[in-house]
Amino acid sequence: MSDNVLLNDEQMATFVIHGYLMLKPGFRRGLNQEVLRQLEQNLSMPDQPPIDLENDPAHTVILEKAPALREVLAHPQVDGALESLVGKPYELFVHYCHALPPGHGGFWWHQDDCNVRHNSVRRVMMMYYPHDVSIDMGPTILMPGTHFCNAPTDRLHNYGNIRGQKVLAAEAGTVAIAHYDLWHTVSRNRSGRMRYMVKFGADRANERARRRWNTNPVEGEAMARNRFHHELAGIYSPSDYYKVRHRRMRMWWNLNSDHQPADEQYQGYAGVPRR
Amino acid sequence: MKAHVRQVLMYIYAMTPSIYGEVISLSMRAAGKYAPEEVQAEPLFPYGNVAAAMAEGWQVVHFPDQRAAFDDREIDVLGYEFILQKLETSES
Repeated sequence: MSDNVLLNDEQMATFVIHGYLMLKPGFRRGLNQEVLRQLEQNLSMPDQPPIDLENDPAHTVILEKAPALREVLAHPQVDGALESLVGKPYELFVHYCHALPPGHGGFWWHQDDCNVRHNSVRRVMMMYYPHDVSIDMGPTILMPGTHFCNAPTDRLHNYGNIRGQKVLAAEAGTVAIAHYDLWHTVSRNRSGRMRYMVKFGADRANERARRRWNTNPVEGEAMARNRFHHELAGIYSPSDYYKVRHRRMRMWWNLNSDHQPADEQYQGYAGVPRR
Repeated sequence: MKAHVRQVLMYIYAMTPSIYGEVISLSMRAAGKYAPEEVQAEPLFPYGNVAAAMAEGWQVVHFPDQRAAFDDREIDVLGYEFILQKLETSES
């Protein structure tokens, strides 16, 4: 029996609405420092390390150069959150160490994925910070709610600051898990220290991968419906907001395949006329 | 003395196509003056809507298309794009 710490209905609803979750797993004392030491010794190249697309496209060598990361990935709260969101088995398909030197950073908004419209959670990105990241150290910035936007990255280049953007100034040991379509960027590192962030991508291994979370199907869905209807994530124009409610409910049902509703129920949810 | 004129652009993404629509996103662009596409950890929004910028001398050079492609299910970008300009003069 797995001892994973699974997400609960509230956390799942938060992920659906905002497109990300912040976790603070109780890593053993000294683990963050151990990871940081290994990164500094073996992966302190500016920006991303070169990736051998032919022999190591997923850049798994990072786990050899910083083996303490395996303990981060195996932590019951980390593994459990991934089991809840993408199901088991899942595959880690990308591993990056973002080493951001002083003066570097400052980027445009982008999505990591190509634009394929769906309402499910097939793939997530996980960002782990082995040291405190203050607001001047080039923190990651996320735009909540944009995982529902089918927007090519090129179209995002003229956006600057967006109201409601979330700055991940985080304590050492913080893990953020985000929908792979979520708009994100990095600000400039104005401090005198290198900023490290390790990013992993996790993919459903197949469509039979089983999600588990701590749920009360009846009360959980009632809570989710209420939050999906009322809770804001970022700023949408008025007509988009109605679509967002619809997308949230659809994603919830996709996540909770045990309670997949009939299509008629979906059609009736937001007053969409039946065809 | 030679006068140089530099065009400064301000991109505003507003909640509606109205000049009174609330600003969702705002960025400045001018050759050699603003870092392109940089998002800040401590952002400033000097104007709440396009009308407020116009009151300080900004001129609208691009209005959002009122005939936007309408899809009742898809969501793509955030807001309606206005582009405003100011002309700065310097002497050398």
